[in-house]
Amino acid sequence: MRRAFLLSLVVYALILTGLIARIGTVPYANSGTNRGGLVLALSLLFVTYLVASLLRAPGNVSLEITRTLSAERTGTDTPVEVMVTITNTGPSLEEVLIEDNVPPGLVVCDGSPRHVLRLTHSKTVTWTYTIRGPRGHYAFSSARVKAYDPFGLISRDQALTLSHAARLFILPPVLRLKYVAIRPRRTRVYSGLVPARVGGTGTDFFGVREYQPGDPPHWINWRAIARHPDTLFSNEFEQERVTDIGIVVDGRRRANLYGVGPAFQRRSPPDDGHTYPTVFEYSTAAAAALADAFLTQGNRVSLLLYGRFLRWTLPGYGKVQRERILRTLALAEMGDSEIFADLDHIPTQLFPAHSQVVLVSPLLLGDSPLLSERTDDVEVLIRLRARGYRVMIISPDPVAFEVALIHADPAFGHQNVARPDVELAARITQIERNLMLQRLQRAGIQVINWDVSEPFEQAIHRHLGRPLAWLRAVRGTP
Amino acid sequence: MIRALCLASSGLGIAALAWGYRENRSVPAALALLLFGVFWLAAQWRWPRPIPRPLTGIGAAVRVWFSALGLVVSAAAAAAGLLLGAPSGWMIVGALGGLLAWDLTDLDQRLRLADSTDDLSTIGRRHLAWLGLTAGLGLLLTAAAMLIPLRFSFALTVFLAFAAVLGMTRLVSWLYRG
Repeated sequence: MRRAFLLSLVVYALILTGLIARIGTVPYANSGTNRGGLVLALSLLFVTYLVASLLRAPGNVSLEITRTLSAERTGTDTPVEVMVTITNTGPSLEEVLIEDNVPPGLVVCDGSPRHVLRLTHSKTVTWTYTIRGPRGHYAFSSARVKAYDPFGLISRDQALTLSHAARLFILPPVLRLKYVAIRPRRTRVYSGLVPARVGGTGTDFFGVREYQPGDPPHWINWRAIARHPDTLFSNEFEQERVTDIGIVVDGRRRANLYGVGPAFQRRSPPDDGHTYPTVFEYSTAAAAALADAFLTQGNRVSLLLYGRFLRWTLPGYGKVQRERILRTLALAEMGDSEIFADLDHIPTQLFPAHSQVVLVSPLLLGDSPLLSERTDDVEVLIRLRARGYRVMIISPDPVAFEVALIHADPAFGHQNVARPDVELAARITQIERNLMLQRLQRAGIQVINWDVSEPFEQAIHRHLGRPLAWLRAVRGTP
Repeated sequence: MIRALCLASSGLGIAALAWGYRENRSVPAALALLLFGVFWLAAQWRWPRPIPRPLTGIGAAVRVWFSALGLVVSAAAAAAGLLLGAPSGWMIVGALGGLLAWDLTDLDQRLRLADSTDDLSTIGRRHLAWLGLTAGLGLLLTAAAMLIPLRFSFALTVFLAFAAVLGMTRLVSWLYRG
């Protein structure tokens, strides 16, 4: 519309100039020097252009748009094809720009969501484009339509809302973990794979008891009978059952502020168009892998996202629960909250008493210079342990993560921070962190300090994998 | 093709104006116009690419603003030339060149938003046909208004001018409402 304004200004100026010149040349009009009239005549050229534009102005834009996604849920950076079909149910449109609003965060990797078309009445046009993106939930709402007259002076701009809003869940990557050994203090009644601290049928030796009629003969402990010939003894095995597991993902922004500071934002994006992962992304990937492993073992798993607010996924079993948890993790994002600034407000009543609680968090150092006030996650976790919960902490190592980023960035040396200073700071912070983790371990909390440069499944296998039979025999029951 | 026509119309328009001024023995004005024309063409010039990309940032701003400036300069130079007694034919051609270049620059900018699979040739062809028709009609009307000797009294001239201004205002308001 600015173009129409400019053109009208030109026409006004020409008319005004012509009029003034005409007044000035009136005395000489009879002598044939009607120069003002020439200027007025010149303005007709531009007036014709304006009138022609008005005559071909677009009428009411009436389009029917449908959008179809090739998948409603997909993995990180997996291409998804979007098909857009447009039918013009109104008058013909000489030139129309149609742009499908791609949600922020998604990258168009093939085709284009934007097209310039000429749409006659009842004409249908279809196009496809491919998108990919990081973990998240993306809602496709509307499409932008801008119809022009042939000269582009008049345009009708409107957002067309689609009747069926498409949405796309990009789930975190699910790593397959072979086995995750946990030992909660209480299990459920159904048989599973978690040692239940109760004698009965099972695979691992639990104890010796008096023979009871019905015991299989191969359970009979002949060595014990040799010592006490008056009585028959049978071996007892540890029952294996399913259990309740609550996974808590720490989404507090200040607990995840690693590798995202101003020094790192100056980095140019990777060549392949992907984004740099954050510590929080590693946390969500770890939570997804653990949830998948626990559910595969038959356990009842719930998920709590602890950040700007609480997002709670009710406990459940099986594939449906796996899908629920993955979708919740797709929605997970970092956030700040006055209430949930520290872990003190984890609603423990959501988890059954004496159940297994797995916290996935980089953990906050009590005297971290990043914090304005002193906050200590350790005390909170020790209190949680004291209430009887079996607490396991999966902690992506933020110090190692940030140091690796600095080492990988050749431009970091130009940023007023000497590399030896960075190394020294990293060492001090790492020592503080190790002390914090030792405090947790001394309180009976199982801590897995995960250097994210190592694949998660390897870290889990080393700390929580099922030991070999001969190793179990040497060490005793884990 | 649109880019070539755009460059040609702006170049020819400025050249026509400069030639008209030279014929009117206003050589400094002609040189100034030629200098402006060089800048205008430089602002419009883009290396040909197989797939035109949308212009953004300073490149797009320079191009769009220079095209608007070209329209204003062409119209102003044509009007001034007519008032100074330069040949009206060259002046009209110069103003028309500025108008066409301004229009085609905007069309090129709009079509750069399209995908490579869009049928831009049809849109461009229809635009050029409509533009040619409009320019021809405008030229006809302008030439007729210049050549047909109509004598108006001063009062009638003022009345017609005000009627034109009111009509223009109405037209522009329609454009805005559209």
